[in-house]
Amino acid sequence: MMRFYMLRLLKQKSALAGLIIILALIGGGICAQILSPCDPAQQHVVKRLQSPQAGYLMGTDDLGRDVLSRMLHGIRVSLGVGIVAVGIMVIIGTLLGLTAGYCGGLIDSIIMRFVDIVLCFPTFFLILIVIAFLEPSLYTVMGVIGITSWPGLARLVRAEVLSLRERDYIAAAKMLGLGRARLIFVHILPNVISPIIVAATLGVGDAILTESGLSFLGLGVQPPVASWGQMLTTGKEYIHIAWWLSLFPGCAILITVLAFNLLGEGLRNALDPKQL
Amino acid sequence: MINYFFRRLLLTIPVLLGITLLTFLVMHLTPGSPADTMTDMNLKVSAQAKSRLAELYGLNKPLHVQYVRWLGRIVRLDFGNSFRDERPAIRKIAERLPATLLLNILSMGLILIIAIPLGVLAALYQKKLFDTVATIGVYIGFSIPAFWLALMLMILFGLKLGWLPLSGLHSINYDDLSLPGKCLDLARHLVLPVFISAFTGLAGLTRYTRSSMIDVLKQDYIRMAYAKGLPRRRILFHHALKNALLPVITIFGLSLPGLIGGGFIFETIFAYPGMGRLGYDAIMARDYPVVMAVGVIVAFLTLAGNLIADMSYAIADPRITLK
Repeated sequence: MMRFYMLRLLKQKSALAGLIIILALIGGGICAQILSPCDPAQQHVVKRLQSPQAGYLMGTDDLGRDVLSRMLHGIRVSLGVGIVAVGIMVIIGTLLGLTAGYCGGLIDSIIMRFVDIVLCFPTFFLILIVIAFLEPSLYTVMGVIGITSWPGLARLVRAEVLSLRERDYIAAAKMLGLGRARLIFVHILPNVISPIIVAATLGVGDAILTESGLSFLGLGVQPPVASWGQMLTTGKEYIHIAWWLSLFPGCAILITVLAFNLLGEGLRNALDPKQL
Repeated sequence: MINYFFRRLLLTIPVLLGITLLTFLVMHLTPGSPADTMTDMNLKVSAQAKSRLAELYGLNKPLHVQYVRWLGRIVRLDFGNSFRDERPAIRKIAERLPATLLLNILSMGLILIIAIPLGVLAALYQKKLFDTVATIGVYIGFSIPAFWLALMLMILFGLKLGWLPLSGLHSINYDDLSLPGKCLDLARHLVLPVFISAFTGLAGLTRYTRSSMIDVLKQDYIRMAYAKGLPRRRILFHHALKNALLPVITIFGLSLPGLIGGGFIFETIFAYPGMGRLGYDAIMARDYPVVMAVGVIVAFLTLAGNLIADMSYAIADPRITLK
């Protein structure tokens, strides 16, 4: 079965491209230490703002740090934030969606009204409020993005559960006297897993984009840890004289987020029996 | 029908209350009180003065009392005065709201004009070159960091080419211009923000129109129309598009918070005098009354947008039975 979906996924060129980019990024992130030509935090003030050249393939920044090395280390931040934030989102969103859909009644109403309320706020606004009042750090960013992005997923999961709940096989399982937890996690959850996978993949892209925005505003990952968004802040200062400081991190964010979105769309098609 | 609208309207009341409660709680449970921000920089402030300030703003009362008081005031649209310049928060918002609405209505219009034909064409040429290019194009828009795109375009069109102004909404000499001159000046300032807002918001609607159109084209009544020998153009626009566009209304309603709230970073970059920048500045300065006012008003606008979308959908689709 896995093989079947895998083939359907890989048949789509854009999804395949997305997958290859993501694997390359993961590899680059893991091997950042080995691949980097320099220490990302090592400053050479004499060699500041060098344009791309042999030795500094992507140039150097305002403190003479090697941009390529910082880019490689930035992968860790972006992917780390993306994956942890989405992990939090998936856990909260799935649990609340399952509960609301399965229990129905008052519990459903309360959870869904809460989802409606949160969805009325622009996510970035909520994130900004919380982050601005906390100590900005890598972990704050992961947590805050995670706990503000689950409502959409909860709504999705609930809708799926509602349609599954009435199926005969669930009635049969109930008749066999299965407990509620077993029913939900063993019989319902596996059938709502595909929209969750799709939402999670798209969510990683979203989270990376949000992280870069926060870091750009100085509210995300703090120096000296290298992150792409924060590199863009430096790039903005020197944009007239050092184009490479803005171009490379921006393109990196674009390509990474694009890869996750293409993969997510490919997964949606591959997991949807109506497609292809 | 009227009965349905009325009930739908009643259902928004708990959501409205929830919006105010959430805004209130988020602001009050996060560490740091406004009395601190006002006095942090001043070493001479005594504990007594601080508690006087807290008393003045009612910060020493229990939370629920504060909430009910605050709610009582915002019903009368009194959001309190800004901590920064003592002006009423609602007035500050009233100044910024037109700029944000202008930007969002223009970019929503642009999104509709581009996304629907693009989605329809992509559906017609499914899996052909056009579809692939359109898909990748809208995905790039969806994936690009808006603030970075803003920076790049500002550099290109504002500095290198000098075609467009860099920031703000008016030139310095705006007041001296004639009416057509004023319009042109405004248009030149709006080009980049509207373009970026539309480009980054294109994906949802385009993809939705595409898949909705693909679904509709597989329906029996479309095959029937072909079998009757109707011209292709008539089938596409009269039979297919009408049905394919119905769900688009809902999607459009759902994309509202993104449009209204998406501007937080790039309004700041463009120094655009809108709600996003007001909200950002207020959050950074811990200007409680303004932050809460922006939050509540943006959420209300979104709720109203969703409500209008729901109701238009109900009117547009005769298959929906209104109970």
